[in-house]
Amino acid sequence: MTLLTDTRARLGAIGAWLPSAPLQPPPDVERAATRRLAGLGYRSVWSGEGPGGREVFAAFGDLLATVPDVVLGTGIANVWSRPGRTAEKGGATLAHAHPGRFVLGVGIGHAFQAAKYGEDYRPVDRMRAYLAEMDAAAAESPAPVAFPRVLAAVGPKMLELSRDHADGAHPFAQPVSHTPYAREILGPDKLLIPQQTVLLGSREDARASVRRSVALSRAHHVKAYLAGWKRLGYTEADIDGPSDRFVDDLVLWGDAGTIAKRLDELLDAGADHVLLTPSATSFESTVDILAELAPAVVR
Amino acid sequence: MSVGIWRFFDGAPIGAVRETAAEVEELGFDALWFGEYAGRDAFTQAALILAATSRLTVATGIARFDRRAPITAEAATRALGEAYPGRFVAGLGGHFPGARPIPAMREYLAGMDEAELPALPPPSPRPRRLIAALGPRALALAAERADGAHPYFVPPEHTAVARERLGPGKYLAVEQAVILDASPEAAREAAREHVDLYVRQAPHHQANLRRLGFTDADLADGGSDRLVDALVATGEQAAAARIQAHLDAGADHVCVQVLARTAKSYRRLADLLP
Repeated sequence: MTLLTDTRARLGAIGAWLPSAPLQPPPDVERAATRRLAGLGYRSVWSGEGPGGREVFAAFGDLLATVPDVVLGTGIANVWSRPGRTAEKGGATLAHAHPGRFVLGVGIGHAFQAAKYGEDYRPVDRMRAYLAEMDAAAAESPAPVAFPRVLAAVGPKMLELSRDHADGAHPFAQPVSHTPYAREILGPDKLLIPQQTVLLGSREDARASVRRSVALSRAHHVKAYLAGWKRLGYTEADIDGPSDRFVDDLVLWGDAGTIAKRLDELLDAGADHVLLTPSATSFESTVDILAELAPAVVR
Repeated sequence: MSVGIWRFFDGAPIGAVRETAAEVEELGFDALWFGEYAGRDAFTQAALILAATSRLTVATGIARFDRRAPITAEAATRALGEAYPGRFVAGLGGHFPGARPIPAMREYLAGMDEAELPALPPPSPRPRRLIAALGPRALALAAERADGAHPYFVPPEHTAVARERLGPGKYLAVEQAVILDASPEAAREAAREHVDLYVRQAPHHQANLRRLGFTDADLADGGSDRLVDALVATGEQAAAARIQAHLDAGADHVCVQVLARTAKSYRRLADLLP
């Protein structure tokens, strides 16, 4: 089997994306949650690395060893944290130790993160060079067990890079209309693994959640998200309203059955595997909501 | 007496790494140290060894400075210290391509100290941070900005100097190469091969050996007999005596790299220790 078909088979349709910093719990709580989600039928569990939390390869070395039988993905390993060759070695180490259970999501992070490391923020160029560094390290000493790498991609150039120099894309915080857009650019033979916010509740609850996300993106000047939303046809008024259309596309809300139906639409629109993140204020409630959703959404 | 095992795992299958770790723990050694060279990422490998054992201290010897940003090294150290309380030691070292080593090392350690990790407070106990320090300025920096030093490829005379430079409160974990079989020809060859690798390729080791009184002649052609004997203890009794000599000279811990290793080497080494 190729890496693509093998990864698709292992991932199935639905996974969970857990918040890291600042909600990341102690290791034993995170291990127990990951074990619980795997038991509930989530086929993968993802978490990420912002500056300010655990180093992702060390943390995943622990999680992969202590929680069996579930795929773990980094959403994302941050480019600013280590050179490309170290990311390649980290991924190779995890894949070798836990064959078929690791997906490396790599992300360029945000301008404010680059600024912390005193570096310029030229996302596409920097990512291209980073992937070349990874490839050079892999050419020197190939990974004994292949592992897929996907890029945190929103805009067309990063999606093209995901298609041409990676195994696919892992878009974060995008409306459902991003999935057909991304699939169009990626073509059929690449992985598309979007993270998707879900909310058990009303449209007004969802609107409040979207309002918080928009405020956060504006506060941190996350241009990729703001520009990406506009590229997909949402106006300033949609975003700042936020309008019903924008709310409905950014957050899957309702009861578990409604959310499951909308996940079907997302999978039909070209997603390989959708990662659910409940809109919640604590790690514990995040996991509890995923448990409540599980009977309706996992398949 | 605190004694551990030091080795490279590059090229070893993962299963062999886990089995070795389990054996080292089972035999009662206090720690397992491994280097980061061309192979696995050091902190990732540390995590998998920690997960494969239950009491053993796992130490990077060393995690290379050029492989990750200081904040990343600190975030990895805290993550492992948090997940495996009291069982991880962060040994750090290596080169900074194109930079003056001591200022660059100082900057890196400051970067770790100043790392903004609001979601990851230092775990308790805080993992020891050791520096691969050989010369006087590196040892002074290890005393100032770390919990101690992890000198590699050094005789007990260096350990005495290192203890003096570090002061009494710092941790000194010294690597020592040994060959357990005293079959003179084969042992000499394996020892010389090990010494040759470093005296030929590593200017910082050459400088360190000169500071200890070895001459150009000692360093030529893969190392004089005197140099090889100073760096590699050959035979079981010599190995035991050399470990004790480091401890007597001020080492807190000796991590032993067994050359010409066989499947029984670690058990034999364990049997030598009190």
